[in-house]
Amino acid sequence: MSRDPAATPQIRRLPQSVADAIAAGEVVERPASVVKELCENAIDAGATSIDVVVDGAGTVRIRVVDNGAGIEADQLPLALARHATSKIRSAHDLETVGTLGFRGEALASIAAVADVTVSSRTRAAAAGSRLRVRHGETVEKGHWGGPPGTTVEVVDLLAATPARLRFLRSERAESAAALSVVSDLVLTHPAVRVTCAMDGRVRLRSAGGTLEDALRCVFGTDAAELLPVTAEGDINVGGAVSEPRRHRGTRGGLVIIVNGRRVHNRALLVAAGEAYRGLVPAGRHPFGVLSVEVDPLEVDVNVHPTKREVRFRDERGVFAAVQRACWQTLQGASVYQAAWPSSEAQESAPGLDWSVREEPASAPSSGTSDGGADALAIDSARVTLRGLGPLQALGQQCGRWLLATSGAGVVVVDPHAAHEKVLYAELLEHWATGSGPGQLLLIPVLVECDARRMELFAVHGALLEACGFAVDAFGPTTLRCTAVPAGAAATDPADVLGELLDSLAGGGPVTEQRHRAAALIACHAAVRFGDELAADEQQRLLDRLVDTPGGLTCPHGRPALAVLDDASLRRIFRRPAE
Amino acid sequence: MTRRGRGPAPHESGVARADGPTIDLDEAGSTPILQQYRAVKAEYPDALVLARLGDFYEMFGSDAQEAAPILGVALTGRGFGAAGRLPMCGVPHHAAPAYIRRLLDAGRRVALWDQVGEAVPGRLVHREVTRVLSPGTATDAEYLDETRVARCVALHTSGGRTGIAAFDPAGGELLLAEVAGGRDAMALREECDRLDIAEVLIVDDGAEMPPGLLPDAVRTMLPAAFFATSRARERLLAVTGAGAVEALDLGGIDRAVCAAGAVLAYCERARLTLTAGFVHVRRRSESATMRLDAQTRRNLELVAPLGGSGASLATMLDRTRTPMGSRLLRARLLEPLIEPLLIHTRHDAVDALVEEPRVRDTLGEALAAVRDLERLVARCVQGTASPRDLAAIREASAALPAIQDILSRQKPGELTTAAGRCAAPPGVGARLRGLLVDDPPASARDGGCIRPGADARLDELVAAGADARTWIAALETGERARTGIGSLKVGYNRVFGYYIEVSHAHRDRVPPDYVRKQTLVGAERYITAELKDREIVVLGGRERALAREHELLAQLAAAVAAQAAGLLDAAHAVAVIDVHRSLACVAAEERWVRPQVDSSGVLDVDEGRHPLVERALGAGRFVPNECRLDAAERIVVLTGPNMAGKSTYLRQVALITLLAQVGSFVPASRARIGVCDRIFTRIGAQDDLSGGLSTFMVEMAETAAILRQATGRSLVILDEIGRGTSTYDGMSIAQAIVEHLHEAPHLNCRTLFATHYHELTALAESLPRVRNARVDVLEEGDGVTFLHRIVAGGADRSYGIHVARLAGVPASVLARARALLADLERERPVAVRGADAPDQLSLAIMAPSQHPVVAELAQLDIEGLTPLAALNKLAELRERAAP
Repeated sequence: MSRDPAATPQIRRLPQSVADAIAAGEVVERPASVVKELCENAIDAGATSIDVVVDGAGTVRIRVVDNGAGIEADQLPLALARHATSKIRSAHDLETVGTLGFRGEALASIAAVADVTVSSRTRAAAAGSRLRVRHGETVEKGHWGGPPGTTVEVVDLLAATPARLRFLRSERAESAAALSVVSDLVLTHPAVRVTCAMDGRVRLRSAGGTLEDALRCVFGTDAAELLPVTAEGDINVGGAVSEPRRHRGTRGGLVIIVNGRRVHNRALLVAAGEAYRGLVPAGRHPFGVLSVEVDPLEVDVNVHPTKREVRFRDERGVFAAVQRACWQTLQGASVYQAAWPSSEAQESAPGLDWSVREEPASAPSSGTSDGGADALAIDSARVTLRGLGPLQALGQQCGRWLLATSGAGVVVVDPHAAHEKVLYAELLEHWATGSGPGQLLLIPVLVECDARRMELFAVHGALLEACGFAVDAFGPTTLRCTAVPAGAAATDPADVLGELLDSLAGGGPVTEQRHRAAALIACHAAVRFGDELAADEQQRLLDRLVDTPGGLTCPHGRPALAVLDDASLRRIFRRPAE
Repeated sequence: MTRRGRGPAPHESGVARADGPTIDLDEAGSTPILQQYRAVKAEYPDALVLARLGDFYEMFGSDAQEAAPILGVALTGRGFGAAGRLPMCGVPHHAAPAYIRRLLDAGRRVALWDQVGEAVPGRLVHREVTRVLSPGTATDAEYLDETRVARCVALHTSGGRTGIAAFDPAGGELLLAEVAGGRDAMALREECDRLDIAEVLIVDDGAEMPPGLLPDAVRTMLPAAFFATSRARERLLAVTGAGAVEALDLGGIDRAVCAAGAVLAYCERARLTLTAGFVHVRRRSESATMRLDAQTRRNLELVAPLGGSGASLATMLDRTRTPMGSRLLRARLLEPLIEPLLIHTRHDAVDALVEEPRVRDTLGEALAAVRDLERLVARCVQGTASPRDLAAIREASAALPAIQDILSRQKPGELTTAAGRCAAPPGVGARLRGLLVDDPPASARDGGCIRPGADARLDELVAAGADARTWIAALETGERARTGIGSLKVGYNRVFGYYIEVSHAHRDRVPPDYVRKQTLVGAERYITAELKDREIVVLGGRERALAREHELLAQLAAAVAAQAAGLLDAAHAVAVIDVHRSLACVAAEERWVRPQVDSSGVLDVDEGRHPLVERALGAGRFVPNECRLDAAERIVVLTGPNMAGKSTYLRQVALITLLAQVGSFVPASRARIGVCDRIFTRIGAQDDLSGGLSTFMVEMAETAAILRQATGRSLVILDEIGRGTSTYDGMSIAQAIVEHLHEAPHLNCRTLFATHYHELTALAESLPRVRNARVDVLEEGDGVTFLHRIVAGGADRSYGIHVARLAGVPASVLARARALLADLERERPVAVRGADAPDQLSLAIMAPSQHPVVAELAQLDIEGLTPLAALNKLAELRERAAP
């Protein structure tokens, strides 16, 4: 269609179907919003049981079944009409909205962009009724012989608007979003029995019970780490938030509920985060549920078409109430215990076969503080090793920790992790420059192996050689080791070789296997945690450490040192920053 | 001895080869191995003998011909010159379990003829039959379905009663019971049907087994001597360790004792180890549980779905975390209780766990750690436990106290009683923890199962080997110094063992004590006497260390076996807890309620659901319905169209009753169940074509059994009785049955009667305890909507034509059917044999209504017919009027 550039396009009123489809875009952003609207309708209908079915990430089928009040036969067409609702009658009612939905838009919007069948029966009616609307047109109407309650089935969502369909994210992401909506439903309405099946598999099942049961359903074993929140006043705050020693990388783990409605409110997330300041590492966030109850007159839910945002008349007051509630909750938790050791860090102590399970150590210097590292690496983002400048050894504490001073402040070093880090870097450098075989052993070491390891040796012998080992078969279940990589002289070759062979069983590209090998050898060769070091050894280790490239963690991601700079110390002692 | 009912006859699969005719084992030459094989075959004529030859299990002659098609392996043969060719086939020994399972599944018995000594060159390896496997005597995990018990049952009939002894070789339980009647008695069939029997042993007296008795079990005929009373008593005493038979509470069931003797003797012959503590005798009492006939079990889909696909009640309820729990759940479904107090106890246990989701979760994890303790212990007793089996027992013994701990805060009841029994016998766990490595290999073959430092003798053997190795490792340096040959090397290869290698250049400097072993292109290899000695220590030490490990593992298994009684008791307690937890999970997730169970004779259910149909339909489809039967209303006559849900409703009521008596919560919003002594179902028509019975005959036989056996406390479900014969026949029989159920003094049982004969709704007017109900239908124009609601009142029509329309029957046929229906539909009075007129059976309903020809004549439009058409019509009518 060519258009005359000179002609001014005329303004025309859009056909109703087009207008509806556009308006629907505000409510039906993605399949998860359909799930949310339908679940909210079910709750508003007084359902005590809701079953959600999502197939093909919601674009194939979404079915929400409730056992609520049902819709009278003559009301059913209205249910699918725009701006028709049973929930409010006048603009005045908007002030005190107590139901989740009220705009009278959801079903109509969904029906504008999908094929929707609503089947419903009230408890009193002998027969139910059923209405099918496809892209705004009624295509089927009749009786229905089902149980009391309402079933809404949405198929071919957005199929008629391929452009919108293309905007959806991956099937996995959309499924996850839909599942998260159902999780929110479990948290906001713990007493309701909820199931959610995706592509035939039950993904979530809550029998209905207390908030505690709902938390266990949604957070799994993490639920045991949640501290209950109770604060009463003009504004009630309830729910449960994580102990400080547990935290997550995003704010999304904290679910905010306002008057039974799941909302996304940045200010309240910040309020909760404030209470954790200094208790969790920078960039880490608490998780759990905060349920805020305020006078409905104090809150405006009609801000956004999807009602995901709310506006408070007294935002400052709500903010303060949430922060206070979290603060009180955390006072029960032991702050010091909470701030320092991370449970994960203890679990990945040396000796466990993390060599196989952990992430490949090929990016040891990334400085990401996932899991164990974060508690100590308070300021790892700001500090680099070289930036610390020379370290001056002060001595060894408790026979374990190396203390040192630097320009940045007091530095606490884990000697094992630090040594491991140093050796790791040296080994890799050594191998990269190809500086030949390792160190010959005076007396060959014999390594007893089982049949499996002998097999692995037959396959991966060459790689061992490239690492500087000289190994050959010396008996049906014996290997003889006559040389070890330089720098690994202090290790027991029997242990290292055995574990190395096991780790090679995992396969992978050669470079990755080398990194794994280096990490393993370094760990074995490094001083043990708890070994006493002489003063000159301490200083030499610190000097080598400062010269080593990379971040603050050992190859396995555990922190090698912590810097107690002014800012950290202020947080510990609760001195405001100047 | 085994009746080989299935599979091809032995010679059918023989393949004639170009190199001579196929010959029998006896005709083949006499190599030593074949001679021995023949001897073994003579000893076990009823078994396929699998001979271990190197890495293969081989079969010869007719065994090979029989097994090859079952195993799907090639039938080969070995030529014996002019005599012909002996068929043979084989399977690799490392894959043998899968093949053996196939033979067992095909109902065969297998004797494993294994090598039991070291191979010595020039001599035959010593071989023995180590195990005789049959469907009822297998104990290894490879051969068993972990959710089902596979029992071996002996039956012994004398003097009009039959004794039953059912032994579970993988659990040690020996159940004894006795029923009235011979092998064809219904009571025996019912008792056997609920026992999961894989193999049945009967005396070889020439009498035929009745075809309906255990059709799926392998039948084994045994000589009468197996059933001798005196030996039976001795055997029972031996395996139970009891001092006297009286101590076993087996009075009055002598026939069962004889049967027990037979099953024990048979298992001994199959090389099973039967020790006191492992074998535990339990006497079944008939009166404590509800008897379920095969029809009811099938119709209600208790353990198997109808039509072979979909879920059974057992799979739906099964949230157990251990195979033992799964097996117990299955058994309990087939044995509902009839004593309200016992049922309450079970409900209390489920209730406690429904109330506490947290306990349910933690308990689930602890239970899962117990794994299949029962069968693990059984394998220890049989000496076939693997190192991983022992490790699993170690984990289980650690999990048992955890279970006790979790349940320690429960109110006293069945849960706490069971928890009290969840105690690992002292010492077993500690011993396993002390000796066994954390993560032992699947097989003990390569060693590595015993913790270093745990056994001094083993450590010594290992250390001796290590010393010798170290000596050899240091040899290189020493010899270099001694000989001055810098390039001297000490090495190892598989063929020659350890050697000293010297390049040709230095050959002249080799000391005299070197013995040349091998010449290479550039070097010579030597050994010395001392090196040889050390080599023997290194290589032999490994063998001895392995032998020691095997010895220690056998001791561990024996230690477990010695505590079998306590461990099996704990295993059973775990199963009980597991079943309660499973039922609680279902109850919580499906919102089932605790039924009120009493002796009232009432059946009162609000919003009842059929659990399997509800699940199959998916949420939001199933319409719940109530059910009320009490002293005033005993019989419901249910009418309504096909497909509207009559059968589902009937089954649903039966299932709710059964679930309540099993100890489960029920799919309803409220339920009061007066216990039933039996549930009878007569649903659907299943032709027993193999038995040569017609649909109607089966229907009548089942109905007759119900009318004979039902009592006032029974629940009777009758679906479309009389369907299999002509309308008037069927209707008359149906009416007579309702009247009988209502009037017979010992009956008056709770009955749901679904029928298409809406004429029967008239019975409600004359019989006071009969109530009508119908399935609600909404009719609009030509269409009907099934509302699936049961409402009071009778249906006046069947809507068969509507259903036909839904099913896609052509419009012309439908139109004709409608016309015919209109003709036929005349209200006819139904005569009733009511209380006031006990002996008067009116034949009114038998009177033919107006003949269709008469009806058609009355409607004939004579004016519109041509003379020829009229003549044709006349001819047609005469044709139809002719008898």
